[in-house]
Amino acid sequence: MMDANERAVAIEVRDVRKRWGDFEALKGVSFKVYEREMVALLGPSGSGKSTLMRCINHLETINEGRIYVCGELVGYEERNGLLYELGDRAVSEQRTKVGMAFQSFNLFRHLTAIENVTLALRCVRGLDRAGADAVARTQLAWVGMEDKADAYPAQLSGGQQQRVAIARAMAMQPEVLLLDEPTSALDPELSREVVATIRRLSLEGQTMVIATHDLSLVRDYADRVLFMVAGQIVEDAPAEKFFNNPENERTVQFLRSMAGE
Amino acid sequence: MSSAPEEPAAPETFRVVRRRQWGAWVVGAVTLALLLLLARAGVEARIVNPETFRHYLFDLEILIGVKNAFLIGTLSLFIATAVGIVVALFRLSRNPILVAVSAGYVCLFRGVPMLIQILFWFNALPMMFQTIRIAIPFTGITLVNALMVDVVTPFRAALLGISLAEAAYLSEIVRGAVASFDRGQILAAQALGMRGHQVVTRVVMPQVSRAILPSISNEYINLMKSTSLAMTIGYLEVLRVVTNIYYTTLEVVELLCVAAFWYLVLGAFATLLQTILERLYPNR
Repeated sequence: MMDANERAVAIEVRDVRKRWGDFEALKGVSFKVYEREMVALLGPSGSGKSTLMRCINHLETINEGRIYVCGELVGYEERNGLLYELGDRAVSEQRTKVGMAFQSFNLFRHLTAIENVTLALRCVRGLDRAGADAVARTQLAWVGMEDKADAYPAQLSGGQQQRVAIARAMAMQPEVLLLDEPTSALDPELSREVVATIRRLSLEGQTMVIATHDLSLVRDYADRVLFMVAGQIVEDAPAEKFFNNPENERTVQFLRSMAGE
Repeated sequence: MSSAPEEPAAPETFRVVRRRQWGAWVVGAVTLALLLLLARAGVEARIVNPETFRHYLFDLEILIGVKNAFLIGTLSLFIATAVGIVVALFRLSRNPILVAVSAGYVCLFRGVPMLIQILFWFNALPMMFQTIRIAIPFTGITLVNALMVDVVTPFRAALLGISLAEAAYLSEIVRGAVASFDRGQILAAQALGMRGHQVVTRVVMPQVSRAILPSISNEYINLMKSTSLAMTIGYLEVLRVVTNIYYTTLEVVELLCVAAFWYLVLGAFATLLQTILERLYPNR
């Protein structure tokens, strides 16, 4: 799907609203992510970053709006002017296009590193054991974890777990990769090895959305920054402009408070 | 200071002496004395004649009773697990009818004494349904066509009563384990494009079944012992056989000891099984 700027759009979020009872977590969010772009999602805790990420692969339902990934409406189908939620099969199919890594890694605790990677390859992609193992080894080697292939998550450090989690997501060859605060649970040293992996992903042109509090990561690698406050995007700017010449007063305050720390 | 450079003082080492717990030793000594008194009273009164005990230990009737207890204890564990999982899934569903049915089931079957439940099924089923007929629809083939009195044997009534009561406990164990399962792993599996049933069978079930293994073993031991309740409806398990014998011979204590011995053996078997399974599937 091309937009007016003649650039291929990977993700389009249009007027998305999400409510839990009286609480509105997303208050009409709209933005686009172009192919091969790395977009950073910044904002204070509770501003809706995680919720927004989960809506993109329909781990969370939405109340209004539309989300497209590679031109396909996510999670719903349109009939008679209403959006009907898709069934398990169709939603699962769509999710294979979107990889995801989480703040708490969420590795399958009963499986080794390599089994974590091969599980979906086998039961979603239908690869046989040998085929899945080959893909998984390549992927683990790519994140520098091939020598820990047979270790269980409990035997790995946080940084190692996150790298396995990224390998698990990338093995499915997703069109876009969502990283939900991938380094927030890690100390600076462990977070460095994950940042190195993210850097390699961005060099390879992987389309990515990353929610983070790590400003240096954003400054060094992000192409564009979305700044969220209380369920709304208040600033959508190229990274360079975001840091040097922000427009919104909230962004200025945020950057000042982060610099003060 | 102007004096000559001091010799560096050798580091003093102290031996650490732990506090003595005199109170615990006193309580220990008193407890031991009381136990010895109790044992002496038993021995002096000759409550167990070793000859009689040994005579009945491998008595054929009693061994059949052991087999029957083992049979019902084990079969009911499987039935109760199956029913318990269904009840737990009802409870975890978002449907108000299923949730209410499940809550009602647990309240009723956990609240009524198991003994009453066994007596109830044995007596009530033949009254509720005079005959039972199970047929394959549209074929005219009848699988079962019998009087309910003949169908509800002591074995079946005991199996039904114990299984249904136990299912209430097991459903709570399963529900607790599933409810406390790491939701992040479910999200991760879904994000990989795994279907609902794949998430359950490949991610949730393997970990939940490992988590409930100790609780299930506990229930298994309980079930082995609960089979003794089936004596009330005339099922020939250990306790029933033993009572039948001592009604005529009056060797009450010896025979109770024989029964207790075999329940201990059954419990030890369950514990052994648990240990083996825990070794086979270590906690990750």
